[in-house]
Amino acid sequence: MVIEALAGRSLVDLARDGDAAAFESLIRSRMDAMYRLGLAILGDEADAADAAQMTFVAAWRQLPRLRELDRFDAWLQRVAVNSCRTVLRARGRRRMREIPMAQMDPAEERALSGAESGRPDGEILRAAIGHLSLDRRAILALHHLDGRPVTEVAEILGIPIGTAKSRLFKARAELEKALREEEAR
Amino acid sequence: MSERSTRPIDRAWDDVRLAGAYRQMAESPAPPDLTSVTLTTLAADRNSRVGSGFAWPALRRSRAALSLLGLAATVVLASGLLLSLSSRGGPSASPSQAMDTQGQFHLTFEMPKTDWHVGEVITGQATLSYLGSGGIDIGSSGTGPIGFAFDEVGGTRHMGGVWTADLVVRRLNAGSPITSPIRKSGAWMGEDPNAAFYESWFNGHQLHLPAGDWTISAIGNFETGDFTAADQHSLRAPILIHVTP
Repeated sequence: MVIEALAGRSLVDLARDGDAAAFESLIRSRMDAMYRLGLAILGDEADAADAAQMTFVAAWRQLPRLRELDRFDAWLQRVAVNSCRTVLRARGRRRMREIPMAQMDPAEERALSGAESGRPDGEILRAAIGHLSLDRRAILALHHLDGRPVTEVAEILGIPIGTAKSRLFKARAELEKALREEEAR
Repeated sequence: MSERSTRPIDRAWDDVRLAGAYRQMAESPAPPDLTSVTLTTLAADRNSRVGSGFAWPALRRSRAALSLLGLAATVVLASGLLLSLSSRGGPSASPSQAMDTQGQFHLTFEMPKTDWHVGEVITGQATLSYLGSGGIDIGSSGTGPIGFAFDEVGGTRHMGGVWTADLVVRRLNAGSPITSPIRKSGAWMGEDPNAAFYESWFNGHQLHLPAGDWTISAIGNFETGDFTAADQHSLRAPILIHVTP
């Protein structure tokens, strides 16, 4: 662990000084994680790929200004969340148009189709997060995807721990409501 | 009754179930060519780091590894991303321009420079053009089809990118573009830790930004066609700026 941490810091240090090979190594070792975070926040593969790519482009540009190298990963994840925000905002209007103006009552719909709620949890979650704001999605994904403690989530988002706790509580309540609604469809 | 009790609908969404759902939703690794695409984009964006462009050897290795299909995807994705997400060059005292093209529509965003000082009024202008012949009706928010977003790079402050819900139809003629100077729009929640900053920032019409790196994006949002089943258009032209104390 220590060796990996030192090696990681060294790569960040080199990349900050303009070593593209070092940055390429950072990309290769973190691409999956950034993509998965994007997928957990955006719920769409193409959007997640856009966000991951944008994350590394922005990170390469901004890396010289990163002061605390040992906080690279937290900083990178914050850049990733911001990239998701940009992607979501660009897609926002299109997505909004896809929401049906009038939806059938879920119980009635089930009765007509004869279907029970047998959807995988991941699919229900993907639909449910679509009802949440980016900030809500981000804090939930950061906390639940890899089980990060609230202190770490607060550091990534650059907010006080108390604020993170409060936001997480509200986001969780909102998500549970959306999950129940999606599950009932 | 027992059958009903085993249905997922009756299970609580506790931490364990939620974590499992997240893993299920985001279990996929990144697409195999995404790293290559990103490296290609970085190589093309080599002017973005003053004095140290992204090394071409890394690009050559990546290109060699690309399949024909991967290369095609790379070109499409990289060109799309470059057009829509990247400004041309990093902060500088020179004018900067970003563009995005989507079908017959072209959005250009220009700023006189990208190095600014705190207290200085930041200016820029976006232009939305129609590349087809004649003209076309576009439907957009009453505030216009062009808006602006302001994002603190690596920070938590994000302003703009908000449109009012009203729909106004305008004629966009070839050769007569719609222009808009940078203007502010935005919304925030009272609980937001940056709420006080937003409140203060939105006072006044002139644009000032705190010290740091910011991405200012011109955004074109509008619809064409039959507005009951319209085609959505969303163009984005971002420029990275640096504000010094």
